[in-house]
Amino acid sequence: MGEKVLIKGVEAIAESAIRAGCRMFFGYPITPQNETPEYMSRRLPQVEGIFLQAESEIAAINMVMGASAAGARVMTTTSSPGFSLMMEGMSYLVGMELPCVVANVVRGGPGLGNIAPAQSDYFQATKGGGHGDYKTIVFGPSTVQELVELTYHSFDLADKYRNPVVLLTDGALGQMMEPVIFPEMRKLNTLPEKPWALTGALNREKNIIMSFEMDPKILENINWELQKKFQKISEDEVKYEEYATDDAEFVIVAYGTIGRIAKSTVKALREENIPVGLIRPISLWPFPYGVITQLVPQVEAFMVVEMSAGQMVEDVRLAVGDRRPVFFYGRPGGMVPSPRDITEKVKQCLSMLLS
Amino acid sequence: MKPVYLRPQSMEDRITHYCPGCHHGIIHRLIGEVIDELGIRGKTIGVAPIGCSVFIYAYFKLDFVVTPHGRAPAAATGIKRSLPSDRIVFTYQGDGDLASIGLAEIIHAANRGENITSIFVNNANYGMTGGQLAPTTLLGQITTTSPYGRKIAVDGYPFHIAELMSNFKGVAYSGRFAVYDPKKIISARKAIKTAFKNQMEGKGFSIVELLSNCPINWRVSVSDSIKFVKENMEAEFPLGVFKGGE
Amino acid sequence: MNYEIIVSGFGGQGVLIFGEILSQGALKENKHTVWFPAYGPEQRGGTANCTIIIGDEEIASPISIDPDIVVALNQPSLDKFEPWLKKGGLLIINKTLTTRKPLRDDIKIIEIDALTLAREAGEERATNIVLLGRLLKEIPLLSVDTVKEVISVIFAHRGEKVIAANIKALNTGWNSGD
Ligand SMILES: Cc1ncc(C[n+]2csc(CCOP(=O)(O)OP(=O)(O)O)c2C)c(N)n1
Repeated sequence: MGEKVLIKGVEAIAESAIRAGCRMFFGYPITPQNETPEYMSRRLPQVEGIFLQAESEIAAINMVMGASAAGARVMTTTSSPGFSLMMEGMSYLVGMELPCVVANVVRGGPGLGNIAPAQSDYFQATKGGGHGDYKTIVFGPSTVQELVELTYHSFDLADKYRNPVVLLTDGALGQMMEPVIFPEMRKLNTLPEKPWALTGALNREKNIIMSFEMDPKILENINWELQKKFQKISEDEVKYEEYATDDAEFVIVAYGTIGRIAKSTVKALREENIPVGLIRPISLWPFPYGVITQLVPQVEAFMVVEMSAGQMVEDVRLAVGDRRPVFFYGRPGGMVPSPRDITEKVKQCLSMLLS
Repeated sequence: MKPVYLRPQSMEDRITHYCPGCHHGIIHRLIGEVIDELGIRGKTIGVAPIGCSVFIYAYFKLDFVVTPHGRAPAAATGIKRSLPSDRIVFTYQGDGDLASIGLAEIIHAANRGENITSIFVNNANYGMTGGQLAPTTLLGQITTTSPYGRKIAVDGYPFHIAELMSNFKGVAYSGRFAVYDPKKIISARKAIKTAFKNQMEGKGFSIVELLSNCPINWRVSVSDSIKFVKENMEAEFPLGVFKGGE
Repeated sequence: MNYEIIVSGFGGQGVLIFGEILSQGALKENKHTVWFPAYGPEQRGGTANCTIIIGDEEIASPISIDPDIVVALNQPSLDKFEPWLKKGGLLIINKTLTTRKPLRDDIKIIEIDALTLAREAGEERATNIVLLGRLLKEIPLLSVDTVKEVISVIFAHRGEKVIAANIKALNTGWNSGD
């Protein structure tokens, strides 16, 4: 432990999951996340785990459902088109209150799109995505180390709340190598007990896991119970990074890959004595509305930067209301803005504010 | 001087993106020749898969649609049923596309006797995504997701599509061919022609499975890849017609 | 400070390995580093390239738009990245595969016949390592011993002979000075 290794994001997800006690992986090939299943296919047999390539993403998420119902720590990874195919299964998983971790290495869309980095699945991940009233916890890491830590943490959160957790990342972070320190290998006998799991009703009442209730009155109550859980998660699991916001009069909000690129912008503008700061949401659901709202009195304007045509900006506008302007700069289709692009946009916005 | 070998008229004058030695190009050409010969260029609609041949639309002077991964037979059904009956609709699919994620769609199209033609390219792995296990990967074959070789206990047995298809009453023709030498190419061409002619005659679903290579992802030379098709793939996947004749 | 380096060439010229050696070396010397490849269709046709950042400051953006160093292994790479270089930056060119002189006069330019030198070192595929040797001489991003250690690990699966040839190529590059 403690030794730093240089590793790609998509491989780091796999190793970190194994460290967290994940021994079951089901997936279907899709670029740019193939290295995750490939790594799992090498590594899992070495730790008495199971890797199985499913015949489709639909099958993969349903295999995850089965393993989770049986009490296993289980994961799948995919990229946008495959994530879409998993939406039915995700809705069921939430309804059945089954824990699992799903990584979506987002690529350019819509449709087949391309394999370049994008953030255009934000709505799909944070607002439910499938049918029914539901939420999944969503994290948007911005360094490989953070990806490692959040992957590890996601398994605990999934079990804690009996709910799927989504890691929303992209090929830029996925294909990049950075030095990381992995957490210790979790001892399997320290994982949480799952008395609800389907293990055979030997000397106990039978367990039934389903997302089905014919009586609307009862289903309504089940839904309110789920909503209470989501409410609790919104209160307890918000994560974000604040950078140079103390005296900031202009605040950029960006997550994931763009979150770190925007940090370079802030550094550059600070060198010119322009009081700019950064809020980098780490949990995308629950979204850190609070910290943004708190900054409103101090800040002249906000700017949201995304690799999409504008999705998270709606959450920022919810937090800000019409009290301050919220500018938006986005590049859809797999384009990645550079720190200089963002710097120029900030300056444009600042001059608009002056005039 | 009289030219003896020309580009089929239904094909674009364009260099393909396929890796050196890959058989997709040969198979494209055979389809082009058959379409020319049957005189159906202006009536034919192609349905592209997701896989290396997702770019097939660029090589033909034909209408084409690129559908979601595995769903080509369903889309082809929609096209075929929306158009006058003289239109010819074919799908071109790889083994991941057809035999894995799209197995339900191909089976139901076949069972409905959908009057379409499917060209199925079996290269024993997922080419586009970098050489992962396919349903058709041979036992013991190493791929990027079967790093210890395909094992029965993990992934079961290689999937036999041509034989499976021959069991459906709606299927007019099902056969398996290869394209690594001139003799094999002539037989494959004949089969593709039959599969298109059946559709013109309203006979129902026809499928031609073509054993193909993938030297880059198999990490072997082109000549070794051909040897692998001949010696290993043919041993698992016998060539021949499993349903329907001329 | 942090150095931003872009290495670019044809796929198969060892551009990604060049970068990985730098990042692995940085890791050994406990520096901050990121290795960021251009991935996807770009790799197939024209150039493969990667960005490496090394230094003692936390790395925010992994994208470099005005690198301190560009290593161009072929002509398309020279065409693409010469204009990106920071003023006063360092441009190292594999003269064997470029057809024109660089255009800028506000940067430091080093041209070496890297392919020929690599052949002389006994490993044609070590063209990249010759260039790496020269880069380290110009700017001591890492100690040469560190880089040699990394080379021994990265090429371990290819045997002692390949390691020795690559170390020789590194020295050849280092000694290729004017
Ligand atoms: C829903 C979905 N999942 C996964 C992919 C990624 N993908 C692209 S092509 C392909 C498989 C290609 O293999 P095959 O069908 O055998 O054709 P080949 O490339 O070998 O010709 C996959 C899995 C996708 N595009 N969409």
